[in-house]
Amino acid sequence: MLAYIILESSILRWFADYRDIEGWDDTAQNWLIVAAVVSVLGAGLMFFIKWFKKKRAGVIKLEAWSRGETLLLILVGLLPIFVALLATWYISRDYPNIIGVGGLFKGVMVSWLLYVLLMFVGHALSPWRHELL
Amino acid sequence: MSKNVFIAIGGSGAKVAEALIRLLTIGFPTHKEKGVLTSVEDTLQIWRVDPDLSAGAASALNNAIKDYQELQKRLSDGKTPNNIATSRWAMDIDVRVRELNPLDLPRASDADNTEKTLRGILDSRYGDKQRSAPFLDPFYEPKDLEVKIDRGFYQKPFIGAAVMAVYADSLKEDSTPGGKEAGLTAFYNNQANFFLCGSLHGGTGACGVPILGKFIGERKKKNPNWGWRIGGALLAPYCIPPDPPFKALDEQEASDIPDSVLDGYVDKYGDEPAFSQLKQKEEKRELVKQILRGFFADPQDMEARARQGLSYYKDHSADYFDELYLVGKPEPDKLKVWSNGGQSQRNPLNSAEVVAAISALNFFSEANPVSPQSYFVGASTHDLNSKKMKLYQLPSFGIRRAPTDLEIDPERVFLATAVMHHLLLQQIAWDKKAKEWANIEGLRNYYLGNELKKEEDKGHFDAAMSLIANSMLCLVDDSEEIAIGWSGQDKNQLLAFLSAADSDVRSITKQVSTRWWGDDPRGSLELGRSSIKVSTKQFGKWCPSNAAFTRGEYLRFVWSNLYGKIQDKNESA
Repeated sequence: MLAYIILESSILRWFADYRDIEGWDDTAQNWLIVAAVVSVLGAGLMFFIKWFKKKRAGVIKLEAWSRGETLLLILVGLLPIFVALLATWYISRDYPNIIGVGGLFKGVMVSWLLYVLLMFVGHALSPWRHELL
Repeated sequence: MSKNVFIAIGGSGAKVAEALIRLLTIGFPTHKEKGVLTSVEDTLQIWRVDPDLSAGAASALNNAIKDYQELQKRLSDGKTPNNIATSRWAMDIDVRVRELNPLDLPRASDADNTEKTLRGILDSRYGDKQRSAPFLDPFYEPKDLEVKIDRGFYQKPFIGAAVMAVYADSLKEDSTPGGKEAGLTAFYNNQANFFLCGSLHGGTGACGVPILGKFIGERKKKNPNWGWRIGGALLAPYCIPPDPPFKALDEQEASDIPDSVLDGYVDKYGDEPAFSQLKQKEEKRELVKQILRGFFADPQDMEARARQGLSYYKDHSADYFDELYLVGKPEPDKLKVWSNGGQSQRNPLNSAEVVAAISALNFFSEANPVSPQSYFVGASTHDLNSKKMKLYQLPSFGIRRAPTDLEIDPERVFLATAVMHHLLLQQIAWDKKAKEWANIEGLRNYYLGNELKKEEDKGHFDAAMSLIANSMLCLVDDSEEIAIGWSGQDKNQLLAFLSAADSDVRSITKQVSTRWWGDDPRGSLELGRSSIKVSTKQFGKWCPSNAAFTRGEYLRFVWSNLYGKIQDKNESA
């Protein structure tokens, strides 16, 4: 249903710079899915890094994360998301031709927003909620 | 709760009192309550019996008490009375040392007892007495009767004994200067532990301990329902002073020394440490006279005097004591600075004094009730070098009210306190908000939403830990200006726990950190022969069960848990 709404809406158009090529809508849809998957993987990766650092610390002092540290972690997570999307965009034949540079940055923005949302929701639902909220 | 009175007699007694305060500062317990080893709810009052009001040992004792008062203030919440050092960390101590000056005797008139010599004191008209000079002359030489005794009794107990006997008798009346200061009548009908401490070989201590012991012991015997207990620690020679700056004259020459000779000595030796504290030339001349007449501690006589003292106790005094401890060293430590009393007599704390202070704790904790007929012969281990002692060589002491017999090992107390110091200051994320803390729920909940209280408490904990660290080092330092008779190994190990240096903190952090799973630590922390395995996660779980605990209560709870985890190094390996 959601995919249908996306397909039918003008959202996909927003992601594709060159819509005169046949099948642009499939490519834009794929690009949107890639952005979503990368954001989920990025959030998972950053949660894992946080958990790993806490476990590796082994002392309660280093297990305490301030809001500043957590925000820094979230900010740092933006970089691998950008790199992952850039790499995906670059190695594909269709993305530079259909999505273009503008679509790349739009995809990165969406991925980042989704990632930040996931990080906040993830913290809110975890025992680490006091480290961010 | 027990009411304790430590009666420090003479310079050695005051040094032992100082050591006792330092031991209590660092957390030595006297009982176990609700599963927690503590000294809280016991009380301590210190009486200092010494004619030398300006003794260096008295200043050191007062400094230790000031530190204790500051510590207790830092660890208690709310207002505390000015005269009592109280918190839930350690026992309450009356901060006013009762200064019992044996020369401060009842007077028949203002002119009475003003001259602080034996003749001036004993030839008093107090109590409608006739002149006692005719009785004094057969027993004392003129020089003994004339020497100033406001700096002590120069290791000549036969001079002090007579004064002390009169003074002890005056304590039974609240109206006399001594009685007013001691307030002994307040102890009537109340259980109390009196612990007397002084040297066997000195002047004030040697005459004061048996006489005051007898005085209190007689009251106890007359009133067995009061529940008084009397203990004592006798210090046999454990340190010897160096020779005075010049030698005494022979008896004939010393009987009449011209002023010009005295002035010659003052000019020649006036800059020596013992003289430099004296402002007036007359005081310096008096000191020269004392030395020339042989009124100073002669190291050659100490052992013989201690032997005589022991013999006296056996025949006349031992029966008055419930427990009597004897502390000494096979080879006394040599002091570096000569002094004949007063401010210049500032001796470092000696390991023997720490042992005597532990004997006081053993007595106060009512651990070893023994038959009056029995006695123990304590012996050092064969490998003990009394000049370079280690903490594990200190005697352990017992704890009353424990469900089972419990021996407190002083080395373990030091280790528990040192580890507590590290965990509290280095392993809690004080720089972060309490809500961000992890795995330290009790303290986290306590400070949740009250960051100001957390900041305040951090300041108090910093100050308290600094005082505790200072006391630990005062007791076992090997620098000889601060303490004497220690090897220095324990101090070096303790310093790492007390340090905030990155390398020290990192190396301890490695030991108290956990592995990937579970709460067990990666390594262990050691002091001498003791070892503890504790992780910060285990530490984080320790918190008093009542919601409104104080800083002192929290520390005591943590300390008791730490102590419980300490094992013998070989055992834990």
